[in-house]
Amino acid sequence: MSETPQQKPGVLYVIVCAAGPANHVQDFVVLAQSAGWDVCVIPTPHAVSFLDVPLLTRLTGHEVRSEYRKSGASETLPPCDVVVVVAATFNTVNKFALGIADTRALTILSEEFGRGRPVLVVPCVNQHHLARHPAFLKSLATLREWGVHILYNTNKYPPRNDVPWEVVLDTLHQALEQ
Amino acid sequence: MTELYPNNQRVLYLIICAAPPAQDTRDFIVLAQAAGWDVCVIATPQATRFIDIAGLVDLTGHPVRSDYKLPGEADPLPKADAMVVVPATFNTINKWVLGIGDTLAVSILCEGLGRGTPPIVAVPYLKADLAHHPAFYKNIALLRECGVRILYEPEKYPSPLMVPWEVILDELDKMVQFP
Repeated sequence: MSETPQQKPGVLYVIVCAAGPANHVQDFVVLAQSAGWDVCVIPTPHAVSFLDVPLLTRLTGHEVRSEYRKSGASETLPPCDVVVVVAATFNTVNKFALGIADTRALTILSEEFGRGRPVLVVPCVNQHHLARHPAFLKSLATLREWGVHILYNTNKYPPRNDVPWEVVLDTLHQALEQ
Repeated sequence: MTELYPNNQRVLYLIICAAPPAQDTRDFIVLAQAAGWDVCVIATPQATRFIDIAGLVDLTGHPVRSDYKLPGEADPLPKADAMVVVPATFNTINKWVLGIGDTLAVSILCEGLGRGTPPIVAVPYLKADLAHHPAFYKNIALLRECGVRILYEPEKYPSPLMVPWEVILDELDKMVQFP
């Protein structure tokens, strides 16, 4: 069971990348909502095909969009309190660590991190393949050094870090209590 | 000397990224042309949504480039005497330093940095939040070390302001003078 955090939950941005767990991110949305979070889902462009966008829009009551807004259009999401990146791919983890913001998801992630919002990253990266690429471990180390929370334990959740949603939410709440 | 500056004009590559000041780059072009610059526009793919491409083609007399040319195709732009990247976004600055040349704009900037010529001016434009991302100030410092002139004064021109067009032009004029 997820414990409700000490502080009153607010707005949770769920950034979702194109990897397996994205298929059932709605389960995480429901779980976080039951803990009191106002959830906004922000997919990377490739993640969109993994998602049921109308369902997530209905569930969250917020626009679910991967593309940048048109110039001059205003932002429709409420200001964020916390960010979690789920199904975080090799690509998005490395780009985040390097300051590459060429998707709306990465731009929002970099901005919120720059603003000092707590960020939890839950990679979905196979321990036998991409996780062995030297860039990945370096990126995780860089992000940790910057104070980003990382939930990556492939011994416990082999092979891609298939962390149950309850654990993701618990870890998020623990990070907020620190 | 005329062979250095045909038609008595210096060639300026204006590299435009996707941020609100991109919408006003026409004003800068007019100003630069009046100061004797032959301006060529290169936009990132995202920035093409912010500019009036047909209008800028008319104004500059050059194609507005945002994509790579095919192998064997001639370069439609004259050789640059200076380059200015404005507004320079977080993304393009970081990709430039990291050597991720996945847009024509970044590739041209990487080539310029590698060659060490022509002189390059960069005018970052980003939300204060992004400026606090550790990658940004590290990369700005590296560009300065490589000789890129960075015009970034958030204390004087806090976002959404940017260094004024006149100041940018003055800097370019100082760097590349008529013989």
